[in-house]
Amino acid sequence: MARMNLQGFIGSSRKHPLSVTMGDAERRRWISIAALSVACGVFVAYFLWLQLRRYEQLGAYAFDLGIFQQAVWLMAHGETPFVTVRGMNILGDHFTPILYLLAIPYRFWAHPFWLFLAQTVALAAGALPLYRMALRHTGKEWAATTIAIGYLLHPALFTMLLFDFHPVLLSVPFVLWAMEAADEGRPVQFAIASVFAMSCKQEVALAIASLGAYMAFIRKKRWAWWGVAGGILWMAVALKLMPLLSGAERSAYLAFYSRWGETPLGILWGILSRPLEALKELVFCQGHATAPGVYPLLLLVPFAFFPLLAPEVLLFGLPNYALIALSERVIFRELGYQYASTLLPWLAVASVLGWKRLLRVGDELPERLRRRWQVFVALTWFVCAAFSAYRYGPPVIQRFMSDMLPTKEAKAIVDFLNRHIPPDASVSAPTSLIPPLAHRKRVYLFPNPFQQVAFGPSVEALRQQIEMRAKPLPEQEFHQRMRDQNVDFIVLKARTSFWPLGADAYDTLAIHALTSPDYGIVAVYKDLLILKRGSNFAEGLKRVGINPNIPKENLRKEIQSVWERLQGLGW
Amino acid sequence: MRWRSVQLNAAVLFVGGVLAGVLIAAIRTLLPQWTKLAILPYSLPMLILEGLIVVHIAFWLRPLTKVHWAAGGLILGLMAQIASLFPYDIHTLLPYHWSALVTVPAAIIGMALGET
Repeated sequence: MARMNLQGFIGSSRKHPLSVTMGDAERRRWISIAALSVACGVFVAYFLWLQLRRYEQLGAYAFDLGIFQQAVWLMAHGETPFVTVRGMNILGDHFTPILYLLAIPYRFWAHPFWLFLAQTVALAAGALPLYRMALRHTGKEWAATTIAIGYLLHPALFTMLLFDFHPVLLSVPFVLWAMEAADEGRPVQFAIASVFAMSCKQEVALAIASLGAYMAFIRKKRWAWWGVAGGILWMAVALKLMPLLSGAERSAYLAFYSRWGETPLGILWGILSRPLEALKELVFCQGHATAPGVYPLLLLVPFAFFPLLAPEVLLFGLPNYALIALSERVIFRELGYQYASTLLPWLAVASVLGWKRLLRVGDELPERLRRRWQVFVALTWFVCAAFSAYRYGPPVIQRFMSDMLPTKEAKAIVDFLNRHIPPDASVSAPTSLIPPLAHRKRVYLFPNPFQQVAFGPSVEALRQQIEMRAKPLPEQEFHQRMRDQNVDFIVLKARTSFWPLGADAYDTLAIHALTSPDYGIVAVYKDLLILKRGSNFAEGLKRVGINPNIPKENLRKEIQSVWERLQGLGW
Repeated sequence: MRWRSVQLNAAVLFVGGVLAGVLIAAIRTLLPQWTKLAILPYSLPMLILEGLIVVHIAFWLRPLTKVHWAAGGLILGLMAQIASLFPYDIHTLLPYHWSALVTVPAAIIGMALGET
């Protein structure tokens, strides 16, 4: 190297052949790193911009942005992360201690920018260990760069960024780093990366245990048994801690596998004792709207089916795939959700080995044909990645951005909320208004806490998230609960996402809230109403054009007609 | 050595099938109007275009394979047919139709042309 630099510096006209080769290699390396850096930079800039736009235009939701905003905000202020949006300790919902790292910048500036930045940079950063591994296996810079860029173009990867925030996305670079370190035989780095990865969600521990098993069985590394033990231990401890923190008997998420068993071991036994049934589910893997067999293809097509050329890697990724395929929750098997984040590292690494094997079989071809073969492999990879990114990505992005309001209107709403609701007040609001109100001790997703829906650690709460069939309480009972619960403000919006309720239930409960004499309307902005506890009820009625002297029996009808009028107000 | 040759043939036909399949799937999804206008499930221009894609790929790949051109063409055509069932969108697969069989003769023709 010194010789090459010296010669380069002197500018000798008679270059040593070795120095020329090294110079070329060096240049190729720098070009490939620069190309990858540009790709990562564009990826981060574009998706960060989209996420911020979605947040600022009120297109984000309480689940799962509001939840994590409140959790990290509480952590940043030294509080127990009991998230009132979800009705439980955040670490009891999913074991995600990595959130404490995000609390550091949040302490200085409480804004979901940090959450978006972290998950976007994390997914982009996954390209770096992948590049290193690909370079080591293929020995070709262009191949390593092509593989890493193909990873960034995988639609399951980038569409996850548009669905609010999920700490499990932060695990992707750490799992890839752990895989790269294990592949290179660096156990200390493997251990460090594994600990960070497992801190992102309890089921990542399964990926680490599987990775350890792969290294132990296939690569015959004895130290990898520590990875197996560590992964299993972490998972066991997390599954014990979560119910303790949430106050439930066991994690409600196990109910998604009740068809196979009740406890983790029972579920495992249920799967092993019904292998044909399990195999059918694994192959067809039907989603909410996805036809049978499509989801596995959506994972494989962007990588040109190359992962199939490394079946021994995919085999060890199977436990994480089974968590998705064998779950009762069909939405697990749709693009755009975070669940694929535990699968992508396996697919990416299997692709690297697939590439290696494809390039290796071409070694016996003459030079000219070998070049043709390499171009052909790269072209296939690139066309599959580009086609998938173009075809499968945009519809998912569009879906997640469909609830966005025009910029000016969204800003006016946020200003209106900030003007009337003090930062330390407790508030209950619909899902799309939770993110701008989330940085406080008590913020609830309407109709919580008056009627508990999708609230708390119960299985029923999880089912309510999916089914949206909660029946509204009778008016008198709802009023009584409004009296009992000390919530300062209620925000109601006539035209908004009514999740986790059905449309009719949302309207009924909104009208219940408006007829409660314990709250008065203090501010109105288009279809948005702010109710304050203890405020003058009669004065509030005047604000929406209702005569307060109206007979009590006609009041509900009158309020209902006002609500319907507000629903007719478009942006 | 013989095993390496088998591996090479399998790899070339596998990757060739995937490339042909994804290009056909891309054309079918990006130009749906071509199929809608047709009386048949796939329009004639679409069939010709799909056939031409496979002919070119087979022709280009022929020097890389060591199997008989007819066998290579048959396998490549079948691989392309399977791969062209790529998901039409995020929810559904492309519908299969016998007209997709155009890929087999096209692959054989391409391999035969590459042989000469």
